[in-house]
Amino acid sequence: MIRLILTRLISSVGIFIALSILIFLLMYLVPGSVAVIILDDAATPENIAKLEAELGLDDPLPTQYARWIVNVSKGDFGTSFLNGRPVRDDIIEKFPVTLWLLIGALVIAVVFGLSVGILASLKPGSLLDRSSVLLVTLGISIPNFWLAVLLSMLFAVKLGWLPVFGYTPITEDPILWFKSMLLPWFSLGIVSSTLIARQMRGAMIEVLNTDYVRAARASGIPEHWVVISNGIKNAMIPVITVIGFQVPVIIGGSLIIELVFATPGLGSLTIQSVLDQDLPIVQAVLMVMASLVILTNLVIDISYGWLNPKMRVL
Amino acid sequence: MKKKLGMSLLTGVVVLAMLFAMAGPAMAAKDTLRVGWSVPARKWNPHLNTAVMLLGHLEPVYEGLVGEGPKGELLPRLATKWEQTKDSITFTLRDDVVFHDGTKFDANAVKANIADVQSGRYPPNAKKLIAISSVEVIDATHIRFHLNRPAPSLLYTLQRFAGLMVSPAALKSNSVDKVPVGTGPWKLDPKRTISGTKYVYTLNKEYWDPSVQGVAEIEINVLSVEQQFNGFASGELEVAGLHSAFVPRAKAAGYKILSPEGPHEALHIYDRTGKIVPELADPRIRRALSYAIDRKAFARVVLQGNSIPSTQRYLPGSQWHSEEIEDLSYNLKKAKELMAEAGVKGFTFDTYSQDAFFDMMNEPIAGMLKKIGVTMNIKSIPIGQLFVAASSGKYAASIMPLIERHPYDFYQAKLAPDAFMNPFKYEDKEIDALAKKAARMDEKSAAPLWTEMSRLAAERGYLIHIGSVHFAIMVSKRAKNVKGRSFSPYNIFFRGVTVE
Amino acid sequence: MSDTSLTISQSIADEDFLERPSFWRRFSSQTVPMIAMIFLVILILTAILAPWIAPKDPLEQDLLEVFLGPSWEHLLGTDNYGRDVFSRIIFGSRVTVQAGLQAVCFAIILGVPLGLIAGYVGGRTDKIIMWINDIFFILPALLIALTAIAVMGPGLTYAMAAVGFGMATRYIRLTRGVVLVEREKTYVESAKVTGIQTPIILFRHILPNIFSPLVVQTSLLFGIVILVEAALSFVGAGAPVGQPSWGRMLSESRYWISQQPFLVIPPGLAITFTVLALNLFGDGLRDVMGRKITATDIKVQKQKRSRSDAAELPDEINEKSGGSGADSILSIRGLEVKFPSISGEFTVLDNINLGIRKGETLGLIGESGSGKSMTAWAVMNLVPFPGKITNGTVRLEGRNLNELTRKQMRSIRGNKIAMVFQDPLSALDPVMTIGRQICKPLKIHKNMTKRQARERAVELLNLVRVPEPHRRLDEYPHQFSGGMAQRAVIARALACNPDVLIADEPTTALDVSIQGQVLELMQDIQEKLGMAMLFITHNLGVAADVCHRGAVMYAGQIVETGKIDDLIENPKHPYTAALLMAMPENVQKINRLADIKGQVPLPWAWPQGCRFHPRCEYATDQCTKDNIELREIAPNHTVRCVRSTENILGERL
Repeated sequence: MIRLILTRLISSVGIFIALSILIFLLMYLVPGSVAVIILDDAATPENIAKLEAELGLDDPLPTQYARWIVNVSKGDFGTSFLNGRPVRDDIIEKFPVTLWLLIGALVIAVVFGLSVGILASLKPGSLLDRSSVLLVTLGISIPNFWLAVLLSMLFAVKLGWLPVFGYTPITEDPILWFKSMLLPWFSLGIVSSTLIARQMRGAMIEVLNTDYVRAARASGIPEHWVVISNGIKNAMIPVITVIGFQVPVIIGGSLIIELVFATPGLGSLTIQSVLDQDLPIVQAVLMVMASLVILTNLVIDISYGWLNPKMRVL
Repeated sequence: MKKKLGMSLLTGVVVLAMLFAMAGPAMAAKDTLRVGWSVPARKWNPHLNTAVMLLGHLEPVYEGLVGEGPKGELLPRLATKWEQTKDSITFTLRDDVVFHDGTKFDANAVKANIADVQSGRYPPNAKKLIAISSVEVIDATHIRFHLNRPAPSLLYTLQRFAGLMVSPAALKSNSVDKVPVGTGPWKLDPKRTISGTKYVYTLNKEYWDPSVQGVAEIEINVLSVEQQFNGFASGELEVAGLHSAFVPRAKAAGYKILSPEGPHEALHIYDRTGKIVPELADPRIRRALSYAIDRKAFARVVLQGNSIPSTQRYLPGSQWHSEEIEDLSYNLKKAKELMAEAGVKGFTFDTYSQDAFFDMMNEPIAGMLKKIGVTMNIKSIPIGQLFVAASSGKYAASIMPLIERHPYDFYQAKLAPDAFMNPFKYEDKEIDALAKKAARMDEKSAAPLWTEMSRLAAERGYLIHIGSVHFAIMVSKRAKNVKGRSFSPYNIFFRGVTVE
Repeated sequence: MSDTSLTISQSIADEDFLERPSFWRRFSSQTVPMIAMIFLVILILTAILAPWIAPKDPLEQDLLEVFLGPSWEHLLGTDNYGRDVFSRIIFGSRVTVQAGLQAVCFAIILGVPLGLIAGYVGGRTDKIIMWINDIFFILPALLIALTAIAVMGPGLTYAMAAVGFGMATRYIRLTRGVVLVEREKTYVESAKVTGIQTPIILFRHILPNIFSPLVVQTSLLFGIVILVEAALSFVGAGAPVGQPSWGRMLSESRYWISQQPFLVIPPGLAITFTVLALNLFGDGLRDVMGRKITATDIKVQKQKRSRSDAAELPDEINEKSGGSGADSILSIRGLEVKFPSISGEFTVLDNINLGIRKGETLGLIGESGSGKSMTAWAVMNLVPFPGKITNGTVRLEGRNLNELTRKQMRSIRGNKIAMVFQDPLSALDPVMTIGRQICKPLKIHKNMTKRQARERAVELLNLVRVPEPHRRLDEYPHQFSGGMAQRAVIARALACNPDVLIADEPTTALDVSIQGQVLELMQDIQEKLGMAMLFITHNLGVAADVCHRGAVMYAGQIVETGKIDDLIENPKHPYTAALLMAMPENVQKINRLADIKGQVPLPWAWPQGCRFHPRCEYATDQCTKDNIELREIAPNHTVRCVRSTENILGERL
């Protein structure tokens, strides 16, 4: 187990470093010069030259990367091109919102996904199963932003049950916070839950068709116990990976969903920064999101070992 | 053991997440003006901004020497009075004003601010103050700007970005990059502000004129159109700026609508030399473009009547309005004839747009030009690069607002051979001569010359005027005494507004 | 939708024997993917022919006709500039298809060669490529696209190239996988012919093999790309202003909700349907490609036999065919199992009659696919879904098991009747300790406490000769060798002292050296405990060692029963004789190839008359006509063969 964790850890660090180099290089892929973006309407040749010197763009790339990564490791992502604000402030301000969004959406995705998947798998070919398969395929195909628009039209505008936009910090009013997060959670969670349901259903059908499940049934073990302790426990092994995959999916979805609900998280920050070509923020967001995904993969890998006794011996 | 590890990992994540969330703000006060806005704030130093859309975030915090009335008129603000001669302006300053950071406002502060603008960090604003050759501090409450050229519109310029006063201490320490420090009736609360999304302003208790502080707090929320409507419907907003296209929707919902005079919009033809689009060198084709644009339909349908169509820069009633101007209004037949006469079947040029509101200007005009075979390709550019794009020489033409109100500024920005927005350096000697002459005369006798200049610019197709495009401001019943602000989309005056 | 249609074949027969209909026929028999494919073809045609199909110019404005509802003039109404929405949707398909093609083509052009290199060269190159691959797998496609826009400025071209770049990873993995598989295969093949591994051979093998998964992958990725394109256009970073793009139309439609709410619908549906079609198409294709045979594929020939056959059989013969009558502890009478399929039911077990006495071992003998295991499941009343016992009875000590409630039946399973399986490692739950798996039935049936159950488990492991039982109880199945695992499975089966033990090929999956030990163990235990055993095997030799009596099964029927010695020394059915000859020792003796030609036909393909006749060298015309009945030809010896009295097999051995 420790060896498993160690090898995974090392490969995660490797991927992280490689990604950080790519993210660092973004600054140099800009056609022309980043100085033009920074200066906006103030981009005169003199200003550009002056700024490039100030930014140290004349140094060799490895030096620049070293400087950048050292700063990043201290949490210093530089300052926004746009308003000169330290990027770190933006990230610290917005990361918790996105994290909550991610956690909530993941909870919804897992709870709904697993239960629908399990229920559907118990009677394959039944009406419940068929309709769940249809729903799942539909869920994967609906653009989540369209779903979000429709959901907010219904629950917020028409019925008035939930706030239409914005975010109330949990410290200010936990109930309002919960209400303000519900629609984004569902808009994000539904799509992922369909993906999980699909996998869970497949895995369950496969597991319930195995010899050891038949053997358990043939030993007179009650069906609910077979489903829970043989079925679900075994089916979870492949599904846990799929749940892990949902982290990048939800993060990707949050980019648009946050915009629809004006949720002040990393997603709306990203879109705004992309439209503004505010590269330091884009870089920081990429680093944070990539770390989050790498970290999840690590946790998934480890929990995979934890669930699967075969991996534990390694 | 392993289960414990899993549990403790989970608890760790949750606790961490909660700690992060705890960093949020505290309770909101009662009489808060909640405003819907379509763009986030950019730089907190007002001298580094020009886009009028960005005035809203700065308005609660900053003041200039000269204030602005609902129609753009000059009002005493940090200066109680002023006197303009041919080569100087002398201001008498208030002596009871303190910046939010405790720095005293005086003549030296003004001098530091003018120096900041003139440093050239931000050329569009530096150019506006080009007429100020030096600043002379007479005493703490008196200051004199020496002028090196005629500056008929300098005082108007000082009402906005280039003239807003920032604490000299904050300028020096660059802390203004993070938090705005002005003299205004409200100050930014950085703790409760979520940059890019929500800006919270609290009462400046030291303010010199408490009578204008109708609300204790102002909250500016960056929202999309439907979020604004939704916010109104659910009582979460009191004021929001709107594109005129949405006025019927707002009226149907029963909200009060203000529509102050909007900025003047025109299709600027930059490539008058025909360098990248040869067809545009032909004045007949440029005029054909003017005939192709159905300004009335545009005003009636797209802008819901909330606009004044015009084929020239100044509207009737202005001292610079021309009565003799040729008829350049919509006439599809004439447009097609002119195209045929020039031997051109059609052509294509690129222009740009940066957001939904520019789209709503560009798209219908593109549709109209299409009817005479002219294709206007609208490219998206990053927000904030409008002026860079206009002056880049990459675009032959684009629809832009004319934010310069005085003809002299208009000339300086668009028509002069070295104008910022004349990237192809086109020179019209007649117009140059008129402008130079008029600039040296007093306002009254210069008026006919300015009228002539603006008429020529329109007739020669340098600018295809569309008209004054009004924007609307949607006001809920709870907000009182809300006044719109001319030539400035969406902006209102926060002074004096109260909320029930 | 692969999983809905059950993999029936798995439980009945080895699917490899099935002759599969052509790819296209199997695909076209699926309704939903076919509809999806037609939709996609129409979409592509629409994109290509947009200027000719669209009734209006998508950019043509008419400010006098804004926000019109759907009408004949404007099928989907008009938008805020009076443009025809229907025409805009049609032209929007161009943006969608083009963006999708851009990204996917880029991904294929980049990914397939890299995958080929990684798979073919292997070694360090492979590692480096796969490692870089992992990096791009981290980031969501939309984030990659947005990053490209942040760097290069708004517009779809660079964004789609970036998405393609990110998606190349999927193609790398796919291609590499195919290459690795094919390399193994061709290595062997080409080494035989030329002694060298020629890349040309390899690529010739790879191309056809990669084509189908590539199409599946592409259709699924296409869906993702379309969603990314729509999302980019939705936030205003994608398709330029004015261009009819579904994402942009959707985004803009939100502005006009009060004037014309309908505008939100067409672009949203267009995106959803397109992605849906791509997903359904891809899924359908994958199903057809997959190794599973689905119920939809099965075309059942109308079976002429009816279940009344069993009833017509004289009771006497019924009694005798399976062996002894009243003293049987387990007796099976007229058992019939059917499976539903789209074109009707098909029979899997046909009028099975068997009986086992206390202390007796009955061998159930036949090739795979003959229905032996299904018989075992039917006894347990655990016929795999959606199969059903449609006729007959199973009695345990006279109690009809088919009439028991679920709960009652559960108290029989594992308690009175227990089972041992072919592959011990797959019969044990990999995530549960051996101890828990043995103790659970004890706790359920004998109400033992945890400690009691554990003591009993140790006892059982001792009984089946597993060394160090205390330690091994806490181990997981993968820590057991095959032989040890089978001992554990036997221990579990014996836990509650069952009256009947069903052993389904208990030694087939084991090492030859261990088979003997396990068989010996089973015999010992049976003698010690005096229970009845149903021993399922394909090997007459094994049956001869273990069983007292035997029943030979073919295609869901019993074809011959008798004392095991009679069956071996004097087989009366050509199938029994053939099985006999397939035994290794006999193969040597008669110096003939061991295999019986052909395979057991699948239930929906059972021939009329004698089911064995197509493979039988003694078949006559008579064999193809009527159903053959089981006849008693000697005491305790029944045969289902019209020529059983002719002694056709007499001189063979």
